[in-house]
Amino acid sequence: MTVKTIVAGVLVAGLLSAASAAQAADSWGLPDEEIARFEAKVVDVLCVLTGDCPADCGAGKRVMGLVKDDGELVLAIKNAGAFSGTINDLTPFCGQRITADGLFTTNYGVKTFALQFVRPEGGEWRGANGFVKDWAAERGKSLKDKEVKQWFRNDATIRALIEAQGKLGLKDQGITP
Amino acid sequence: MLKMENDPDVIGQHGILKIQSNEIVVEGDLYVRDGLNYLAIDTIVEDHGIVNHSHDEFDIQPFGN
Repeated sequence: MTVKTIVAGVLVAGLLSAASAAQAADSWGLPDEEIARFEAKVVDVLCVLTGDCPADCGAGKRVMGLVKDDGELVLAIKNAGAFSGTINDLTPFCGQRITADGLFTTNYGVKTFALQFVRPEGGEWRGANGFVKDWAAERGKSLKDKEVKQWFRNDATIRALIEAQGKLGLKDQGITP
Repeated sequence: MLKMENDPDVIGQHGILKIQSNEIVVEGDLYVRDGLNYLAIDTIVEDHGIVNHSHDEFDIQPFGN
């Protein structure tokens, strides 16, 4: 075996490793964290629990979830972006099967799922950062924009609320940091 | 939380955001599925505001326990 062959082999192994890592969830150090990848059907939770089922899962206005093949309803409460949920990531796949990759976490007995990557059936992996992508697109900005990365400091609704309630929410009680 | 004042758009209408950390009394429907409690709120009966001013009871969330 020549040195060139060994180097090529190492490079291929490195590329395979990088491709795999791109789809695998990162640890966030959450309570009782469990890295997980599973197939599931995308649902709107209100539909599953009440039978009130609009065809489009509420068009982005409902809390979304995942039903695993064993029937367990998973509350996909968090996505891969800062301070954002999964509605924008999952609603486009309403009623469809996907593969979800992320973290289960259990805090005070409440088990929820943080979705980091999603792959539609027959499709490609994509990062679950739909909220911030849409937030940027609505404002004609790039994902690399500093304002977008810190969207929660620049969102008009949040800024107005902090102005009204204070950073601690206790402005009405005269308590501010 | 699946509904706030009978509106399923609990995020877009900022219903939860505006009363984050508040202690409230509500009327609505409770659904229990796979160990989780889901609440569909019809009406907020009372809003006591933020009554817990420290981390003593619940520690730092979500990382403390």
